[in-house]
Amino acid sequence: MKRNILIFSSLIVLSCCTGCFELIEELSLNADGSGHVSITFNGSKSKNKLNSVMLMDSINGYVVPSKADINQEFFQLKKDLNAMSGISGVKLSLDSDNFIYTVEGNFSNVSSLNNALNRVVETSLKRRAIPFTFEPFTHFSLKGNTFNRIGPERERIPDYKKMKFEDRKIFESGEYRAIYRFPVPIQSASNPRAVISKNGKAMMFHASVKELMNQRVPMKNTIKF
Amino acid sequence: MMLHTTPIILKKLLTSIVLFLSFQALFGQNLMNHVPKEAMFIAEFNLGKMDKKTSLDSLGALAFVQDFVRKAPAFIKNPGKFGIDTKQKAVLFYGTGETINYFSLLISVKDIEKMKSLSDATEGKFSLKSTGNYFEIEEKKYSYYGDSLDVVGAVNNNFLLLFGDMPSTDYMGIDPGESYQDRQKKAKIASKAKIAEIMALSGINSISTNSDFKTYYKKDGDIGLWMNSAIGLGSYKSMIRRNPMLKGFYQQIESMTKKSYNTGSIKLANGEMVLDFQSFGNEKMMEMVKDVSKARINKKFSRYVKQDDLMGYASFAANSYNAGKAYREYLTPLLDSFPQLPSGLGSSLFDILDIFIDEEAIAELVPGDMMFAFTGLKEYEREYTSYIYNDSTFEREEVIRTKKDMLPEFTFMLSTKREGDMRKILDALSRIPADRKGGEALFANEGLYYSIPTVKEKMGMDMMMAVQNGILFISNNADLIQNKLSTGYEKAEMIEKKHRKAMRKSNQVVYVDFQNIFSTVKKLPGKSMQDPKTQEMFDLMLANMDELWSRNYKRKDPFKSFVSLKMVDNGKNSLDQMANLVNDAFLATSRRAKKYQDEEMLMPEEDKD
Repeated sequence: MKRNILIFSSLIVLSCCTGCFELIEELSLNADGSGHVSITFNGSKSKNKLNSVMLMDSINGYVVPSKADINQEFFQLKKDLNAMSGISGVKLSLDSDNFIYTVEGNFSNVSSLNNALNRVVETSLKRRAIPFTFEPFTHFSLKGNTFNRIGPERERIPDYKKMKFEDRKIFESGEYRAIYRFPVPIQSASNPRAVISKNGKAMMFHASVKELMNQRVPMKNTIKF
Repeated sequence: MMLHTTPIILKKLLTSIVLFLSFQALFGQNLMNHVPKEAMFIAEFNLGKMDKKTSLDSLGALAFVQDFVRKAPAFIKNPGKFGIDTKQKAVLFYGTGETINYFSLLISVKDIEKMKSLSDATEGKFSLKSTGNYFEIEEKKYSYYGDSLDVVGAVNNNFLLLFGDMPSTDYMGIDPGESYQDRQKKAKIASKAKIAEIMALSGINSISTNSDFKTYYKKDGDIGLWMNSAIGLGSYKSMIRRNPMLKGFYQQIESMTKKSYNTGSIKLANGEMVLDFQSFGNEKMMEMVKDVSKARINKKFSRYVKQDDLMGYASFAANSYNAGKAYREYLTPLLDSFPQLPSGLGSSLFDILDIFIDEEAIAELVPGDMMFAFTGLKEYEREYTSYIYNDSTFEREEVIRTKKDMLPEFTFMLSTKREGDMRKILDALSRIPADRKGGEALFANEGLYYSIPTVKEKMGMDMMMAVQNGILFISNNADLIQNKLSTGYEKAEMIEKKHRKAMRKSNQVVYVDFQNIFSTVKKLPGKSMQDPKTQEMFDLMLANMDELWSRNYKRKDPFKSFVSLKMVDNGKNSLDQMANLVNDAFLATSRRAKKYQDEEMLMPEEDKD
């Protein structure tokens, strides 16, 4: 009997719920190569689903953390980032009711930023004792007036087609947006999805997470300014 | 005299030989005679009977079956070629032992000579090795330590046995110092011994001689099922090994499941698959279940569910007073059995509780019957945060947008004989703030009903509670709670007679209306719902699936129940319809996967980087 109810409710839930989230990466570069970076996760569109998920212990085999656990993880992240050389003024904005989380801070140069991003992942994996060997990579590079968004190499991205159906559903309606601002007008941006602002000093790239994961849209972008 | 008696002796001898041979043949062909007594689960497939209803060969040729057996051994892919008779009965069973638990499949063999070509046909991956009485089927397996030959089954003139084992939960943890290799070795020895035992079994030591099996096992279905209720005891045994203090707990569980079985049969009729189910067991347990089942589903429930909206429901009735007594009966010796607690604590504790707790009052507050009904999908509007970007600088600004969400509409009803007390509880809850900081109450008293503001805030959904006509309602159906509570829906609107009858006759009913579910979901707005591939799936379901029923036959007999899956086409065999539905869904998914691959191939190389 229990099983029948479960199957029935699952049918309804599966038909109604699709996860939606937005990841926004903003980077403002100063003339001396230093800058400000902010990363925002906005899950507010899936507030209903996320609130229901938070009531469970696990979903699709993944442990569901509590809101307090999530906040704790961000506080730890802030502590780790502030301790890293070349990173300063790390601030958090945590809106657990709407599932909007922002981490922002200043960097003294792009290599400090790369180092910080890699070390954050490493320490987080170590702290949670996740048996995964993470190999650091270059996220951004700056040579003269050329800024590169490099991103992970093709083989590092999990094969979307081989992912479990439940996992694929998570990424299906996710969106990624990157905004890079420069001190002087942009000459060119190599990514076909790149859009340049009216003042000419900012570039926006927008793609679905699915497009990035199945590598239909490249993340790579070379911006000359 | 001699001349006269010789033909009689000869005749008798001849008759005896014929009888003996017939008996041997019959005995040999009855696969149940090779199922050990300790089998915990048995499924007997009457393949001949099924083949008469729908051609098994045609089902075997379906694309999804072919894909499923693509990597299977040759004798599974093409059994006839190896002399296996797929038109006789086949028996699948699960057994537990000291060292291993195992699954076995027994299939009739009509020509063992053909089986001997197995080695050539599988390029040496499978081979036969004679033991004198039968042939062992060996499979060449690659292991870290080099190739090894594992015995995965056996075959004789009458049947083929396929055998798969796993370490028994009871065995795990016996000697934590034992190496993995030693454990594997022991498991291999145990497997070989079990295979030999199954091959040599005669009716005498098999499940066929279990008197309960003989009495209750149903042979009339297309698939017969038998399950020992003690199926999970192995894991408890290993728990005790790790924590001997749980021995009393184990003994209680063992006494509850002792000589308790479930038997069933699946009939694959035209337009309907029916699983008939019967439980029986030790007298004490049966009496307890009978007492707990002395209850009726409230007739008034049906007034509050509208037929047109109905997607499905689960209704259930138990006698809460008797359930309390039964828990007490089982918990007392359990508490008394804990060595770390003083003996007699259990019974003393309940005697003391008796002074303070009025079980009859509790049973009147919640007699134990309830109904949970899904009545549709409802659109809710709610706000979310998004951003707009300034064209000039791409600076972002936060904006609040609204979004429409579809959420299931449901009603939960629970009978109460103490409406006043139930209201007192809700009133008390309406005075408690939702969080420690104070502020808004958990429940808001709206006069006729109570609303739950936190649900509205978090899910955007109205959630209401009310007590009326001896029923506690929890629902997000505003029309029902605000307008229909005093009388319910008109007779013409309420759920059909077949549901009312089912709830009157039975004290546990589950119903799912696939037609209403899929036709409603099909019309839902949204890109993902209106996607042609999703619509194709909904159409497939609508063309095949009708409804599902699960209930016990009679209220007074909680031990006999059935699950019936009704298909749309009454003139076509249900197995055929189900197999074709799975096949169509498989083909649609494969087509989509192929289209996706083709698109990938056509994508310009630069886009792939």
